[in-house]
Parts: sequence; structure tokens; C-alpha cells
Amino acid sequence: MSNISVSSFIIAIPEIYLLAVAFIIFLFGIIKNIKDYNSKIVFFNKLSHISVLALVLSLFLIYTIGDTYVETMHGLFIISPIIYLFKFVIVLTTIFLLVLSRRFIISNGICDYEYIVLTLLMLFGNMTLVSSNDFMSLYVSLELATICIYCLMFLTKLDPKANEAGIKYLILGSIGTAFLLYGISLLYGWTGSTNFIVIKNYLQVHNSNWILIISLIMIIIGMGFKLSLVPFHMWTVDVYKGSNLAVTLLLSTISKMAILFALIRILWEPFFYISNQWQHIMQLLIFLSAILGFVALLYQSNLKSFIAYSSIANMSYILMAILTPNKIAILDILIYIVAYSLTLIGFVGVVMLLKKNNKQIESIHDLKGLYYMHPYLSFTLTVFLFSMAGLPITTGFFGKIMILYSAIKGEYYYMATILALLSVVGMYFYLKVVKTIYFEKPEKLEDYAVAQKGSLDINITLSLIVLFVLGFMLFINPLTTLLDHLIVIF
Amino acid sequence: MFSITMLSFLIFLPIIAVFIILTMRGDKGLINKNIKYITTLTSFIHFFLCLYLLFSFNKINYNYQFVELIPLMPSIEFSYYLGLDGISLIFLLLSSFLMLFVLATHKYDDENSKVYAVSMLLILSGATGTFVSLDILLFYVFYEVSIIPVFFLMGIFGNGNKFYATFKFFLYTVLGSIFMIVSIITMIYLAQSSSISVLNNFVFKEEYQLFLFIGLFIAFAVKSAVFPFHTWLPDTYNSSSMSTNILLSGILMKYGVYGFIKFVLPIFPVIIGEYLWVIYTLSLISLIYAGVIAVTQDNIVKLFSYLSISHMGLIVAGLFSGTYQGLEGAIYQSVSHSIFMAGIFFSFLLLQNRLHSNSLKDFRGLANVMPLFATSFMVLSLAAIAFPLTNSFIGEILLLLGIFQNNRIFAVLFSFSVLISACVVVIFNAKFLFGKSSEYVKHFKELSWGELFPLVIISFLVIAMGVYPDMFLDIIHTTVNNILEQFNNGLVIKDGIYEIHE
Repeated sequence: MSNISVSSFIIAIPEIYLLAVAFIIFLFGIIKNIKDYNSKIVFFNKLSHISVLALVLSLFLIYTIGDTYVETMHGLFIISPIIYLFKFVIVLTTIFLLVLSRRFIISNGICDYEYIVLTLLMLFGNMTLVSSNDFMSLYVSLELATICIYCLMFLTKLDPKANEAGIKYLILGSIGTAFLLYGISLLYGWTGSTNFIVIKNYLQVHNSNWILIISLIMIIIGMGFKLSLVPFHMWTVDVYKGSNLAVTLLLSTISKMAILFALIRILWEPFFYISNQWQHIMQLLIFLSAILGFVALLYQSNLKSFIAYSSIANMSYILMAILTPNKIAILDILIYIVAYSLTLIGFVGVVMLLKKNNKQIESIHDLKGLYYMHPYLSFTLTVFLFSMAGLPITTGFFGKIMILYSAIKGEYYYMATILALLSVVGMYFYLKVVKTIYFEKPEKLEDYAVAQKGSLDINITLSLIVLFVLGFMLFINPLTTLLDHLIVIF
Repeated sequence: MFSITMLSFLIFLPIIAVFIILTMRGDKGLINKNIKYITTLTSFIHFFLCLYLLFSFNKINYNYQFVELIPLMPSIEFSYYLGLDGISLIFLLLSSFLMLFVLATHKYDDENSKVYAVSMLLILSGATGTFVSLDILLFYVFYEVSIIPVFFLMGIFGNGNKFYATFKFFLYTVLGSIFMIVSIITMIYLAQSSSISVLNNFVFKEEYQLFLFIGLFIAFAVKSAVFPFHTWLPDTYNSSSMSTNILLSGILMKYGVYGFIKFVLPIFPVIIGEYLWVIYTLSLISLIYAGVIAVTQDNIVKLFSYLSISHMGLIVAGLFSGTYQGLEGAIYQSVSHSIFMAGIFFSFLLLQNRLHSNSLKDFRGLANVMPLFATSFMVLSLAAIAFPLTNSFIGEILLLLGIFQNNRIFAVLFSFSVLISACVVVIFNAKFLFGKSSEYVKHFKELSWGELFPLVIISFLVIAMGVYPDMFLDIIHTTVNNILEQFNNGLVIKDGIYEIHE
């Protein structure tokens, strides 16, 4: 592993660029200072398009920075092929999410420029979180991302439920952060550094002791709070239910993704040499999350609690692959998490288009008989549901196969079998939704869900996701070759 | 060049038709008419291409023919690997024929004909893929894909307690497949390849073999409804429409048999040798237990579903006997079972067009009113009891011969199969065809020529296969030899050379 210290900020250009875009939009918003509701919507639409374009540009920037291995800012910030992939995925998901949720946000009365600024800042926080090579920068960027989410939740000022959810998340999130911080300070006390590589080298030569184990547990608890792994999941359903659907989606895809990547980095880099210690803890968390997530999923009918439990369940699935530090497992994790996030975003994106009795759809039962009104939309929903259920030729299936493959490679046979069996339990829920869409009919004509006419960007995004989900077998070869190639460099 | 992409074309032809059907818009009546044309045309082309494959197939060639290989995931050697051997060919022909039968006899006159056509075509594509893929992961993909359309067929066209049955069928099958996928992934990890030719020659470590075998066995046993895993079948058959039943019993149930022959026999000879008595006992239980239940049924569909379980018990037993006759008998009997069950379910379909019921009480004394129907049904039901000159006679004789060579005591017990099926079918026919007609049956019309024609074709096939079995057995001789050679080689390895391979 080469360790080139470059004092320039070149490799942080995508982040700096994002920060600049966020501030420029912020300034624009302040200077324009629009009061009129209709022109506010027009302005919001414009800003939203601009931010999507800016994000596409930042994809190119990430691409040009490339898959090198460089450390900078005194070891606080790092870029490596894996981080490069992580960032790519995060930005890509954000683009899809922003496009699909634009209409919904406006119709829910949020047309403030702050929404876009906060989303971009959160993205900035998540990107630096992935890139951080030091517990200090990790902590700071994690807080940046989380605080942006608190603010996003409070954006609907008049909705008491959203405020309640925001405060709950604020308090419980702070408890999680406290654990994390305590773990970091113990680790600093024992090893004398917060830098990942220094800690890794220290642990290679020194034996572990109870202080180290406690700090490890504290850090896992802190990250577990954010990832809503099972003993620390209590906040998830309440917060998800209270907040706006777009924010729920953001919380369950982008934020989860970045924190998962950060957890992978923490476990694989500084704690690499005590992997037999954290493997036990993680196994316990995985079992608990899988059982609770998949079983609780059975009884859900509310859309947001479905997102909550499905994200708990799927997180446990992904964590199976991180048990064995192994560069190839990254490929499996990436495919799975991209498949899961994109299908979830697509699913919720379609649901966001639908309205029943001029109200937003909240429950799965509102989708009754959708097939008879909107055959194409229900086809799209079905594709996403089957992908989430992990049925073949969808990307979700291949993601599931890859995760199981890396679990079996780590010789976790029982865990792989049990989680695979539990996924059948979860499948029941997804099939129930398909059944609601196709086989049931509401009694009255006005009880059918009706879709708004989709705009061009939404249609393109949805068809891209469908293509990605259904046609995965077509580009599985170039994709895996590319990823293999990237990972070999590391 | 044409023959190279032939198998892919067979897989993608129905999918192209699906796309055409999905994009149709406009007048409902016109759409239904066009759907009828397209589906019938597609299935005809598919069937004729399969016939073309049959005639250009080299029957004495050991190797896979019409091979196509496109690597997909180099890290685990997962590839799009298709090829044809005798067993694949005969099952491919079977599924193409049954699909033609189902699609061409459907009426397409309701609002859901789009769903019907799309689901059927997807099953055709899945079945083709399942029977021709030589990569175990690809096989799994097609195998799983073909149950998704069944979910829609059952949910939309089913009757009675259909949601319960749909979910039971789907989750039961998927639960079985989950065991299989864990086994498959472990096999791929151990052998570092998912290609069947590598896996067949790979000797797995003894401590893994049982685990891997159980995973695959559960999946295929669920599909072919072997005793402890059969409970999904009667409910499923009872509450889905008859055309779905033709597919379920004709194609999807035979996935199990095909999987056993292709993926279990050559790979796990040692385990099979050790645990043969377990498999025999399970099959014997399913044969006798399901047969006894079938006698007591007063639901016509459930009766024949239990009878299928009973037949499948014998097929599975003969298949694992590891003898030439047993294996050929298993394949032959699967094909004949598919064909006469298709005929029987089609007869029920014709009856249900007159009166929507599954109860035996409502259909008594049909022979008085519908003599033509009674005649053709009699031929088909004679096939169900393995009467000489019908196709299943050949199959059953071969199966019993195979088991007899392997284990005489079990062979004697298995030969009760003849008695049980005879009991079931004769008692059933006595009530169903003969006797005093029920009040509904009195108003029934005799079959029209259009209705009779498919039944005549099936009956003709039943008798033709019973009179001249070599017509089909000819295709599979070489492949069966090949598989048995691998099976016996595996057994030899156990007796001494095993350590060298380690």
C-alpha cells in the first residue's frame, strides 16, 4: 500500500465542488428571496434541475479523479479504488432520488431552496464520511450529514408529526453519536492516534485488551444506531413514519449507504487485526436484525414502516458480506446495495406519483386494483417488488446470490442458510403487495389510485431503473469485469 | 451458423411475442383476436423448431449438441451455457407440445387474456431455458423465473380459495429453491465453476456431500411432490384453472425429475448409494399414502392430483435406482404422465365450461349424455392405470424392472402401484362416467368437433407411445448411458480411488 502524501486538495475536488454548488444555490436563494408561492415553485424546479445537472457533472469529476490511492490533509482524507466506487454509487443514487422526488416534494408544500441546499450538504457530508481516513474527520462528516437530515425533517414546519420525528431522531441520534465518540476517545487513549492506518499498524503488533474491546463495542453501537441494526433500531419506525416520504427515502438509501461504507472502512482498516473480535458481535447483530426485519415485515401495511423494516432486513443481508475482510466482497456489497437502493427509490418514486382521493398514498392497501387503471405503472412496481424479493433475472436476485456467495466463502454456512430462508418470509410481504395490485379491486370507482402524468425526466429515470433491474444479465459481464479490474488495482 | 443460436432463439422467441403483446393498445376485441393469433403462431413456430431440433439431433453423439457459450461472470465462471442432450430434447419437445396445446385451445375472450398470454409465453421461455441450460446457476434462474407467471395465472384465473393456494404454492416452491440455491452457491464455491460438465466430474469432499445433496433433493422433491413435500400440490391444483394445471403437472412438476437426473444423479452417486433406502421409503410412502387418499376423494381435481403424487413416487424411486431401465423408465413415464394428465385436465376443462365445479357429485353418469367424451376419457384414464398399449404401461414396466434389479423387496412393494392406480381410477370411472346421470349432467351437450379434436390427438399420442415406445426411447439411449457411466464411475471412486482424487 503506497502512502503518498500530497498537500494539494486535488483529490477532494468533487467534494469541494459540491460544497461550492450548495453555497451558490444557497446564495441564489437568499438574494432572490421569493415570497410568492407560484414563482417559488418555478424557482424550486429550476434549482432542482440545476442541482441534478451539477451532480451529473460531479460524477464526471469523481471519474476523472480516478481510482488512485492517495492520502491527503495529513491523513484525514483518502481516496482509493473502493472509495471511488462508493462515491460514484452514492452520487448516482442521489441523482435518481432527486429526480423522482421533485414533484412529490412540491405537492407536499416544500418548495424552499433550503431543501436542495441541505440535500447537497448532506451528500457532501456523506462523501467525506466515506473518504475519511481518521476518526476525527469521520465523526465530523457523520455529524454534518446527520444534522442536515434533522434540518430536512424540520422543513415541514407546520406538521407536528414531522417535528416529533425530527426531535426523536435528534435525541436518539445524539445518543448514538455519544457512544461513537466515547468509543473513539477510548481508542485514542489506548492507541494514541485517531488515524486509521496508525491504529491498524498499532494493533498489528500489540495484543488487544479490554479497553480496546469496549471501544470497539462502543463504535459498533454508535454505527449500529445510525444503521438501525436490531437492538438499536427503536427509533427507526417512528422517525420514518413521521417524516416526509422523500426524507424517509433519503434516510434509508443514501445515508444508510454512506454509513455502511464507513462501517466497512472502520472494520476493515483500523480493526483489521482484531477481526475475530468484531465478527462475533456483527454476527449477533446480523441474526437479530434479520429475524426482526423479515418477520416484522410480514405484518406491515404502512408504506413507511415497510421501508423501515425492509431497510433493517436488507442491511442485515449486506452485513453478511462484510464479515470477511476481502476486496472481492466489496463487489458483492456494491451490487446488492445499488440494486436494493435503486429498486426502493423506484418503488417509492412510482408510489409518489399516485394519488387516491387527492391524497398521497400511505398504505399498501391503497394500491388495490392499480393494474386495471395503470398497467404499465403496476408492471414497473411489480418489477421492483420482485427485485426486492430477490426473484431471478432481476438485479436483486444477483445481489442476493453474490452476498450469499461471499458469506459461503467466509464459511458462514448456517448464517447463509438461515438468512436465505428468512428472505422467503420477507418475500411473503412483497408478494402480498403484488397480489394487492393485480388480484384485488376496490368497491368504488373513486377508490382507485390515480397517477399524475409523469414528466419526461421522471419517465426516463424510471425506465433507466427498470432497465437496470431487468436487464442485469445483459451487462453483468462488462460490469463485473470492470469492478474486478478496479478492485485488483487496490 | 443457424443451429448455433437455435436454443437462444427458442428462449427469446416467446419473449419477443410478450413484448409485442404488452405494447398492444386499442379496441379490446381486436386485441384479443391479435393475441390469439400471436400466441398460437409463436407456439407453432416454437414447436416446429423443436421438431427441427429433433430431426437434426445426432442420437449417437455423447456430447452436448447445439452448444452456446457466452461467459457472464468470469470470477465464478458463471456463463450463458446452453446445450442439448437426449433428455433435454425430450423434455423440450414435451413442454413445447403442451404449451402449443394449451395456447391453441384457449378462447381469449375475457379482459385478462393479455395476462394469460404473457404468463404462458413466459413459462414457455422459462421451460425452454430450464431444459437446455448447462450451467447450474443459469438453470436455477430459468427454474425460478417460470414460477412467477404461475403466481399470476393462479391469482387471476384461479377459483375457490385461490389466494391461499397461490401463496402456498409460491412460498413452498421458493422455500425449496432456497435450499437449492445455498447448495448451488456452495458447489460453485467449492468447484470454482458453475458449468455442469465441471461439476459432474468434480468430487466434492465427503463432509460437504450430504449437505449439498439435501439442499438439491429438497428443492426437486418439492417440485416433484415427493412425500413430506407434497402438501402444496392438491391445494394448488384444486384452486387453479385447468390450463394452469396442465402446465403444472406437465412441465413444472417435471423440472424436479429433470433436475434429479441432470444435477443429482451424476454429482452425488456415493450419497445416493448410501441413502437409497431413505429415498425408496419416501417414494413408497408417497405412492401408497397418496393413492389411498385418492380413493377417498370426491373432488375430481384433488383425486387426480393425489394420483399424480402417487405416480411421481414411482418415477422418483426408479430414477434413483441407478439402473438403465429405471432411468429410461423415469424419463418415459414422466413424459407419458405429462401427456395423459394434460388430456385428463383438458377433459375437466371441457366439463367446467359446461358447469363450473370440481365436485364428483355434480358430474355423475356422463357416458349417458356424452358418449364421445366418455370414450376419450376412458382411454386417458386407462393410461393412468398403466394399462397395456398405453404409454404409461411401458414407463411403469421399465421403472419396476429398474427397481427390481436394484432391490427386490422394494420392487415388490412398488408393484402395488398398479393395484392402487387401478383402484382409484376404476372406482372413479364407475361413478364419473357410468350410473345415473346427475341433474346437471342431463343438460350437458355432447362435445363439439373442435372440442373433441385435441382430445383425439392426446389419445392418439397415448396409444402411439404405448405401441411404439422406441420412437422416443431412441433419443435418450445415449444420454442415459452417459449419465449412468458417470454415476457408476462415482461409485467406483468411493471404493478406493477416492483418496487419490482428494
